[in-house]
Parts: sequence; structure tokens; C-alpha cells
Amino acid sequence: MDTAVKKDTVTVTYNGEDKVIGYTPDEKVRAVLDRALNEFQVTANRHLMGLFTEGNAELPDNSAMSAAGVRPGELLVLRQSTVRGGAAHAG
Amino acid sequence: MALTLARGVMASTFRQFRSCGQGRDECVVYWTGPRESPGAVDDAVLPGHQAGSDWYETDPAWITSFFLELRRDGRTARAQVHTHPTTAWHSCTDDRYPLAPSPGFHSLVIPRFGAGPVGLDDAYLAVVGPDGAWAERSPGAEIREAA
Repeated sequence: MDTAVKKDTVTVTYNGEDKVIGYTPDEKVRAVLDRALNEFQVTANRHLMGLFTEGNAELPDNSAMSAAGVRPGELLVLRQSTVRGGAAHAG
Repeated sequence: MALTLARGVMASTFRQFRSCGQGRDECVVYWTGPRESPGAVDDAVLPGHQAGSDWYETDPAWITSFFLELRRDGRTARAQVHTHPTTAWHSCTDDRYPLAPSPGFHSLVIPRFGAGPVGLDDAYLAVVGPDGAWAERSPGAEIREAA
């Protein structure tokens, strides 16, 4: 009997590079985000990163992929939620 | 991986800092190049952003569009380059909120709002290491301009 869980995939793009990430519809966005971060070797301040649709809507970390509206084969963007800098000390 | 700048990129970077920052606000550009040419930089892209005398923030929607554009064009951002009002160094904010916090990404800070000589004098450079931490590097050793 085949007990393997069927996985769909999304393409995650980050700074010009793509990775294809497998997921299951009931899997949390956070889990897929973590795999994407691993693929792109992002190790610092991972909690500041998010997955976004091409229309710039952020996927809620705690939602299931299907509940977040993600469809198999969809293109997602991995990026920092906020990009800022400067001489001010506030971090 | 050292960066090699195409002719005119450094001058273009400083022009944008001076034009946009007007000597009173910080400014940022992203150095980009073809993905298949490691270390190559042939463009300085001014993002949608807001800034003041000691800060800048890049428009989040612009970043999404930028990443999609880089993907479409087979390019990547290799460095963020921004100004500080006085001396160049890497602040806590610079550490935590870069465009691309993955190994090999460069962050170059230019002093005095970019009002000084065009080049790397008194600049500060940090690069993301394999452990995700920023490591200071010598700008002159790490960034070369094509002849």
C-alpha cells in the first residue's frame, strides 16, 4: 500500500534565485517558510522574513497553506518584512 | 567573493546619493549584476524608499517587485550601499534589516551623505558570513572597479 503523503510544490524566489519547495495543503506556512530559509541559507533573524504573493500579500505564518490561499505551482517571494538601515541606533 | 564594478557604477551611485539625499538625508542603492557572472556588478538601482538624516526604509512593495524583476531578468542584488551622515559604520539597524541576509551579501556604508570624493575613502564594508553574522572586510580589497 502506498502510504506516501502527496506533496504539492511552490516556487519560492529570493533575490533573483528560485527554489522549488514541497508542501502539503494542511501544512503551516511557517514550516514552508523555514524550509525556504534553509534552502537559501538564511540563518540570522529568520523571524523577520516572510513569504509574499506576487501581489505583495504576506502569507500568515500560522495559517495552513491551503487556508492562506496558496495553490500548487504558485510563485511566492521570500523577503524581509522590513528593510531599513541608517546611523540611528534603534534596531 | 569580491565584487567587480563595471565602469560608471561607483560614479552613478554617488550621483544618486547626492541627488536624492541632498546632503541632508541618508540614501540607499542596490548593486546588481547577472546571476551567472559571480561578483559582477553593472547597475546601481535606487529603490522606492523614505529617509531622514539618520535612517532610511525601503518600500516593502517595491522589494517584492524588485525580486520579481531580478528573477525575470536573471539578475541578483549583490550589495546594499547606503550613506550615513558622518562616519561610516554598521549600525544595529543595518545588521538586522538588510535586503538579503544570506551568505556573501555585501553592505557598504558611505560617510558624509556621499558628499566626499567618489570612491571608497572612509567607507565601511561588511559581508554576511556562512553563519549569518556580518563580518567587516576591507572595502579596497573586496571591491574593484573595472579599468
